[in-house]
Amino acid sequence: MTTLDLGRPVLRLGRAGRPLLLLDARSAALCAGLWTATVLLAGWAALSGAAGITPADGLAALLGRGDEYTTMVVVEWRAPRIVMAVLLGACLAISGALFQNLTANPLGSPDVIGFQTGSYTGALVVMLLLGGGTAAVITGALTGGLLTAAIVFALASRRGAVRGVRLIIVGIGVSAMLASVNVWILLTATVEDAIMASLWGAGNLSGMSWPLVVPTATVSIVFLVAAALLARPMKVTQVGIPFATALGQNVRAVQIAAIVVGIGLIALSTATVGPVSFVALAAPQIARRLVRADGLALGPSAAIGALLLLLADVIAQRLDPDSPLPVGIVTVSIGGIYFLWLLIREGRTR
Amino acid sequence: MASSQLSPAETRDLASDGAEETGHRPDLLRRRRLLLFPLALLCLIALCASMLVGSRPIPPAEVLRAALHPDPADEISQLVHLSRIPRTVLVLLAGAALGVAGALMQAVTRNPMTDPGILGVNSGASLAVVTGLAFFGMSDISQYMWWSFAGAMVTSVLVFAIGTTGPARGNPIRMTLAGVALGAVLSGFSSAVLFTHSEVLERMRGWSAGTTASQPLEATLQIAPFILLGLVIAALSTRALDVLSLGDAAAVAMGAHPQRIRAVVLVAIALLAGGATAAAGPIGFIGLLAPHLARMVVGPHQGWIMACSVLIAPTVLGLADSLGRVLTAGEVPVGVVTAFIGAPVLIGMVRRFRVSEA
Repeated sequence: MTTLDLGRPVLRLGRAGRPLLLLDARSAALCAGLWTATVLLAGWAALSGAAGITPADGLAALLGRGDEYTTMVVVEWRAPRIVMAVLLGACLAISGALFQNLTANPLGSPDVIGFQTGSYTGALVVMLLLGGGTAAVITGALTGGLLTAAIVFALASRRGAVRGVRLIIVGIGVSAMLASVNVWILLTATVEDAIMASLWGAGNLSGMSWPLVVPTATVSIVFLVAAALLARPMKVTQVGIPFATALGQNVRAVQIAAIVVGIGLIALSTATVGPVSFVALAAPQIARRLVRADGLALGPSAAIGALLLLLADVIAQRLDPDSPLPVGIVTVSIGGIYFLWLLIREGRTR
Repeated sequence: MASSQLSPAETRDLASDGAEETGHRPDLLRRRRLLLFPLALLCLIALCASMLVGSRPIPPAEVLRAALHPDPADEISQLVHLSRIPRTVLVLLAGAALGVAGALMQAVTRNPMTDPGILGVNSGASLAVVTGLAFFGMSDISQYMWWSFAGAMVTSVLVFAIGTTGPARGNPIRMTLAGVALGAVLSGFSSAVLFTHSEVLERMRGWSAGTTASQPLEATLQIAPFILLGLVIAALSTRALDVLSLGDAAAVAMGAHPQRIRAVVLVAIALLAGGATAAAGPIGFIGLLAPHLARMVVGPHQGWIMACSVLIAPTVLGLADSLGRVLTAGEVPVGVVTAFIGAPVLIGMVRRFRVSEA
């Protein structure tokens, strides 16, 4: 029998006639390379730093044979931070990919259309106006994100259809309003409170610990699995809603599920480390261009998100060891510059 | 086609009124002229409000007396001369500058959803100011305003270069994308500088939200010549912009030089947006709002849009500033208030009109 020509190299698992799994070769190779880079970078981040621990000692501590101080620094301080960076980077990127696919627009990512700003507003209200603990702040951020999403979608929907430029412009508007509310809340606070809140508000990975990582990881894995299950129906929807409907897909259900999963992912990360912007916007776009595919590329997006956030955190910590920057500032810079470079290159070559 | 035989005046009318029915033109012209009076009146009311409204209520007669007879010993006179008058002048200057800068940007990019804030020009100017303050020990507006102009110029050239090169040139979404990305990067850099230099953060906390309260009158007046120069350039380029609004090909056919027009307009945008940002910080949405309101009342004619923007933008800014002073016990920076006025209008516009699903 003839093999199906998909127009690009494909890795096949299972029999030729009835394959178990078809993987895009370029995408698979890219994912493998990116995850290898992430692991190498994570290893380097765990074993180097200002504490004066040799790589050999650090490795021993990771394997459970180090002395007390080294174990504390490497396993209790550095490791949770690295795990969190990788995990949340992937979460942000997937959330961005889902929303960009839903809105069919690269600007339709949750950090542009205000969901992240809304989470931050929720957290600020709890933190500075109501005065709550960590759990309350996380609840506040989740509530803020969900409320903002509800408002943006309600304002942007027209005869039940939410798609395209209207959503983005409504989102930018709502986002600008919420951002100015945030500025105002910060201005009314005392200087110390304001500096603390705005450090968090720039996206900050410091102070991570295993008791915080474990629940975050559990929740995010649930959402990530859900996103992976949504990938195939969403690719079908992208071809065209009539086409998907003709194939027997419940388009509305898929869209609602994608919105819920996307908001869950972004609110989770904002509640834990603050609004880390630009990973959700840039990672799926970078992935799309590297894979040279026009659709949803969840795997490569997640890999790029993880690498991007980890890299940003490593840079943020090491740029000036005396006053480490919030990671969000570095993600904006790296992600933003790379994204601009892509735009310029695209303008030149095509 | 007979367009080569048209006189310049007819050409301009073709350019400006192409979308309208020719039968209504006399009506429209009369309406446009008549409209300037209520707009000017509104602007005057807003400026008066800016003089009269404050966290401390002073009767209008007292304000007038204090304004006309400066008296260093009198508390009210001091307040009027050191706070109310500088703020009102700044409202007028920054408002006009931002409104016209927005109109210029919308005209030259042919993208209605554009203003110096959205395309990152204000962010570029404020990054330059923050850098000058933190690393080069500047403290006076006469020093850092040059940085502000340079920042605005570099940013707008970059956004235009990205948005107008390649086969996708003139695609509004692409340019907005480039602007939003650039703006985010530049404000990220600003935050990085502010976080590592707490003395600048402390000083510029109010300014970075957009406020009219941070500058003395002398500082505002140092900016004024540059803003006026920007306004003059804008006024002189309105005809060229009308021609450009037909598209590059048609503009070239009519003997215009699109690239030359864009370069001149970029200088005007840098002067206007850079000047306003240096004095009042990054204030958003005025540049988006004013030209849209102007277009609603006068139609697609750049000269009239600019003229109305000069009146509408300070009106909105003055009312927003006065509102911010009395809204709470403390003061809400005007940048926050304009976002609250501008964003719902933007959302309403998007909901009311058909936006092309690009």
